Amino acid sequence: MRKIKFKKFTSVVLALCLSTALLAGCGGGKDKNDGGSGELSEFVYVPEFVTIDADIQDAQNIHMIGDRIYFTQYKQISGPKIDKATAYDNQTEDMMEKNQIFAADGSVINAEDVKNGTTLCSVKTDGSDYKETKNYKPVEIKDSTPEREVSSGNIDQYVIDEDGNFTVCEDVYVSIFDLPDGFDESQGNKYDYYVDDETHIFVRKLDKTGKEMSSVDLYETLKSENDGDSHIYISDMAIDKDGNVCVNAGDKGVFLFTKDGEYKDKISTDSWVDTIFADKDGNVLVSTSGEEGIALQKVDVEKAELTDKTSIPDNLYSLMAGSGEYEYLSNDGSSLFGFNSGDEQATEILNWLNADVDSNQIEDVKFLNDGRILALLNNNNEIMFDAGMNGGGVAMEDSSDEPALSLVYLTKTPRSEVKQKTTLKLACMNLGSSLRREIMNFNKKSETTRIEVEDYSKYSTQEDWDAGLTKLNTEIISGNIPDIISLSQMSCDQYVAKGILEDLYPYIDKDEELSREDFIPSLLKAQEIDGKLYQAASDCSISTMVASEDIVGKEMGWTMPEMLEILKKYPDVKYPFGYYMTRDTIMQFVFAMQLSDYVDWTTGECDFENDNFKGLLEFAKTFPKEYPDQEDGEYHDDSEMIMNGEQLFQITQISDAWQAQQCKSIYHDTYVYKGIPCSDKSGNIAMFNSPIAISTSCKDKDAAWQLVREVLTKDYQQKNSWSLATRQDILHKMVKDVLEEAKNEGISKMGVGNTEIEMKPLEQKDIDKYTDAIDSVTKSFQYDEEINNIVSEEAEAFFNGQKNLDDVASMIQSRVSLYVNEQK
Amino acid sequence: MKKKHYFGRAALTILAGIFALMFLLPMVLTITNSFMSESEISSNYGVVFPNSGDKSTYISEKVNLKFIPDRVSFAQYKKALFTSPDYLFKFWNSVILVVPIVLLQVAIAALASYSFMRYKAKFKKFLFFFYVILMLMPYQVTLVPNYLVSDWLGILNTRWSIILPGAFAPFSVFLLTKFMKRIPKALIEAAKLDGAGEWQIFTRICLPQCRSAIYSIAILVFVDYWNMVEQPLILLNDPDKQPLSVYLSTINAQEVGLAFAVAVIYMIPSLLLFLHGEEALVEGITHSGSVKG
Amino acid sequence: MIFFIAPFGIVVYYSLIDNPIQHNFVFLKNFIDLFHNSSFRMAAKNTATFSLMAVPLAVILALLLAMILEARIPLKSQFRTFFLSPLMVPIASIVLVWQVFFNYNGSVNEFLSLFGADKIDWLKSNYAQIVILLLYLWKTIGYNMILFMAALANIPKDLEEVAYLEGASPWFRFVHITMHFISPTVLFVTILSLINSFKVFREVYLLTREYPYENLYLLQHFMNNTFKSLDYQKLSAAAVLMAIVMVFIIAILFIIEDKVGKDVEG
Repeated sequence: MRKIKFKKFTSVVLALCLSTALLAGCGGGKDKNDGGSGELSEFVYVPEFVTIDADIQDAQNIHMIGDRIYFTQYKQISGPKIDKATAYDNQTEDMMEKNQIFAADGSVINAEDVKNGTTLCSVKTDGSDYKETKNYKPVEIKDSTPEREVSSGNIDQYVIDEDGNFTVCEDVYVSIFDLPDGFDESQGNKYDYYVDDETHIFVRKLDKTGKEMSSVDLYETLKSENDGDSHIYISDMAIDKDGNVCVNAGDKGVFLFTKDGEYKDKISTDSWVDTIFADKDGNVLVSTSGEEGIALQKVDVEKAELTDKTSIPDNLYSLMAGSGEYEYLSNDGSSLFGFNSGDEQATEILNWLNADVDSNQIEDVKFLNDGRILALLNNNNEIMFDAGMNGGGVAMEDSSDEPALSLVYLTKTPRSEVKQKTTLKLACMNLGSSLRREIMNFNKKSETTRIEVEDYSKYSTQEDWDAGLTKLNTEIISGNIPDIISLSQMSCDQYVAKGILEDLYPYIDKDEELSREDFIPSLLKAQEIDGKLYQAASDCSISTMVASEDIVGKEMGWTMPEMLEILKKYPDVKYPFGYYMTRDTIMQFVFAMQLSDYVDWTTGECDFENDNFKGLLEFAKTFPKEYPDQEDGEYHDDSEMIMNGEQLFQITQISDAWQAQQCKSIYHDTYVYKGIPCSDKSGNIAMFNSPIAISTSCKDKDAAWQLVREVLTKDYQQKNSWSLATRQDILHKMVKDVLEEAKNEGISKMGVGNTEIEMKPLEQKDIDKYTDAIDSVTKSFQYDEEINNIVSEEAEAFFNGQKNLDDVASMIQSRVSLYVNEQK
Repeated sequence: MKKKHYFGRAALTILAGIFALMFLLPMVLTITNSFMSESEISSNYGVVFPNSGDKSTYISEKVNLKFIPDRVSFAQYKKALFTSPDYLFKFWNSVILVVPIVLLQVAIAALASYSFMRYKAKFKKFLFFFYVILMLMPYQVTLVPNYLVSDWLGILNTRWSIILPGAFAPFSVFLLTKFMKRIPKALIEAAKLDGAGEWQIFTRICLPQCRSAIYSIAILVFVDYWNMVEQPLILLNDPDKQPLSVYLSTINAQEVGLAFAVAVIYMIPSLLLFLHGEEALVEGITHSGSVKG
Repeated sequence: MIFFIAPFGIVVYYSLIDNPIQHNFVFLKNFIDLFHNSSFRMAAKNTATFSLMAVPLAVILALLLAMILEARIPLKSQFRTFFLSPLMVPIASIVLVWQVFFNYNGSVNEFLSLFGADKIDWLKSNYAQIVILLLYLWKTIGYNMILFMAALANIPKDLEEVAYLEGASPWFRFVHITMHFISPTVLFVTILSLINSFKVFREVYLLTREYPYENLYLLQHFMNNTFKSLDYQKLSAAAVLMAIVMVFIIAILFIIEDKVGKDVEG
């Protein structure tokens, strides 16, 4: 008998071995994608930042060729030297009139004397040896007449061959005017007589000093190739091994030029050409995206066609030429991916944030021969060009004193060799840019702790947008809980119920700088769960309904029956909630916003079989399923309809105080923030933007707090101007600014639909209304998809007349109760 | 007396006939409806599936249960087979998942049941009892263990997370053990006297004896797993790996006509297997059913 | 087995702790919570009623059908094939067909309205369990029937002859001879039907999704949903509880089988 058992045992073992062997074979390939879920990667990239020894304020079209980095700079090329930061400071009315500004030495000069233009510059990859390509002159069209005004040339794109010669694509705009005889430019506006403009694209060959060797104006060619339209935007270009030039004009196709810059042919494509680049063998490749996904194709210059189509994974939407062990690279904004043809999926090489690099700043990436990665960073992403208005076109810059261009070398290092820091994992679904910056600052400052970000949105797919969230949740169940969670799409309540989140009040109380009194009490209260604060939110917006006092009375807050009562008084108003209001939207606002009225999560009780809810359903039924077809094609503006008496209430959001000014102007002083109708009449409901939370299992809660507290500081919240900050001091300052502004500024106008109305300056009583509305907040928005689904599914049967109200309400009651109790 | 019998039998036949028709109805409906064009489908069932198909066509006020299409159309098949390769792709997924499960499960079950038959101990009874309990557990009960083990083995979201638990499922062990008990002990004893080893007894005597049973179990297991929905939904996040059964249930509401056609295609393997092995199936079931104690 | 036994220990463990992070041992708290959870009670009640209704019906109807078919009627093998056909139909089409029949606008309502009956939203009414019951019977009976046919065919004919000649009533013959011989099969069929009564969740789920009308809310819903919402403790406690109940049921069935089986052999 023992023998039999042994037999059985061996066979089972064999079967198991077989399965595991197969398994291993299968699993091996998968590790790249599935591995590292939650755990930290084995290697890290250690950054080394290098600044460039030159005053570079702006850098575009950055390329690395050999050991030099080439870029174009839009800078002052003639006139007295000015300092952009101070040129407009203390500018007097008189100076403004005459279009005068200050030069760097403090003297007053004419802005027109300052000429800016594009220069071609280069610098060595170690940041030294800054050079301007001295013989380079922008392309010119000479015959500028008053009727044909010619702009200066501007570099769109360029490529450099190994010898350092340039092939440049430049454009010049020609504005054409049909001026009446004897037109005097100082008297009238020339642009009243504007008729047309032309884009002249030039392909020029320059030697390495920038001296022109050949120049071709493509205006006529492009016009005939492009159905008479000369407007083309050149987004990219590449040069193949034979020197042929391929120019990417997006949806207009790919234009081909010979070595000497002669126009050769055009390749039309069905899909959009994202990028064009040359691979190491000197073939020019394009990556296109169309309905059937992303594909890589080779440009056959001789035949003028695209060949060798290969499909590329979806997330690699702008491929670059690869280097190192990868044929192609792609930067999706959060990570760098490498891809080789034949791969099923791209490999994530590094996460920029975890390498302390702000991915918004990356201009170009390259693998060096020694395995390091060199990335070029353009720090001037916030530069705003204030051209035109001041004639001279001086580039304005924010107060950042960082140099415009810097380099970062990233060295792949085993984690064990890096200075040991506690690593905290931050989980998020899409990270906001301000938090991203905060994390980078944190990592640069902290000696002991590093925050690594795992953005789960990368796991979401076209078919399943929630896949990332699901993955995070399953990791949480299996005990792999992140240290910090950015709760943008996640339900705070659910996590709190599972005991995953840490109460932040003790941290606020301990904090030397922060205290609970810093925050707007009502907003803090609205975030509390059982007297505890589980999230830190920098800002929010408040959903409400605005209406005129004459219609709804002065008091804030109302119930559903009260609203229906008011509606009855205005039977003639066809669109009381606006032209575009549909059943879904009304359910969304009136129902979803105040779920807590119907559902008590702690006791599991639901209350749908009441008159309030039935009233809501009946009310929603009066709305169309889809908004009426617009035969006139006109946009029916809410505000305009209110002013014309065609609409009674407006569903809107309270954000900054300036928005109150609009209300004031539209409703002629009689507006009231009535709120969304609900039984406790507290219908101003806060929605917090991307709050962050610390998990109870966080490895170093105090360190995590050092990051989390940042979103509660004044500095951080000040940067968000469009939403409502949670801090009192910011609210006070905003209110003060608004009142100040109202005193100083004249009457401005605002477009409402097809008309313009005067903006009324805000007064103290408006501010009071505004702050009262904020103070009245007691609830925060809870979204529960499941309940929403059940309600809309069941309500449908009532809306299309299949079932009566009571049946539907009890059905909803039954199904939602199941759900709520189950979650308890 | 004879007459009464005759009438009785006729009545029974008719009764059975009615029952049989009722049983056949869904299958017939699926097959015939798969030959309807999308517009015919939506005009017939538009009321039931308001989100389905193209809304421009006429939708009859009442649901229109029809067995014979107005015009036989292969459009749905064309669409399923040629226009959208997704279906074929998912069909393959199903095959890749189900075939190993069936083969492994039956193989393992054969070995296990053999030892159940030959190995006598108190322990055996308990083990068998345990098997039956496991078999009876709804999938949801074993879900967490399954999930955790898959996670632990690192096979989550790979096909193995479905195949492995499937391969070790107790269902066939249960059936096969019942069957093997039927093999006359004398046969085995005789073989033993002839000097046959256990392996020989197993392959030479046991397996041929239960061929029909194995076949019928294979069919049952196949049908069961061919239609699985919950396992892949939970263990395979990647929609590219999911079998057609899952996919089919998601397209139901949107493209009813297409769903019918795909269902028919999906039905073909089980139908073929079934028709081919019906006798074996019946015989197999018969024996396992009539086993004593 | 490894796939089930070891992890089942984890499940038991999970059912005894408070949450997957802190791992505090709370012993029976999860179970007590579970009993207080009205959703769970509802689910348990529904599952129990459904199985209690479905399993006996599936057994009895299948036996009846088998007896009809065994009564030497023509086309027996064709009928047999027909009755097995539900096994082949993909689940998705079953769901589709059931929707066509039992939707608010479906055929059954259409048919009933000929007699002036009001429309019923079958799957969202108190009849919902009956609709599912029909589906379940439709799927299981064919297979069960074949098992019974086999058992019936194996009853020694001479025994029946003797009983017949001795003037035993048909009822007596059925109870004492037929039932006696097929009782192991009855048990076997009962077990299979029980399995299948749990599997019907697939169809219910596809027909009505996560949160159906309350009398269709089964334990499997409860477990499936709690799995999705990460509530391992509740899920584990429910699973353990269900396992315990199953052990009892099976144990009872086995004991009966043991007795009856010996009887038959003896």
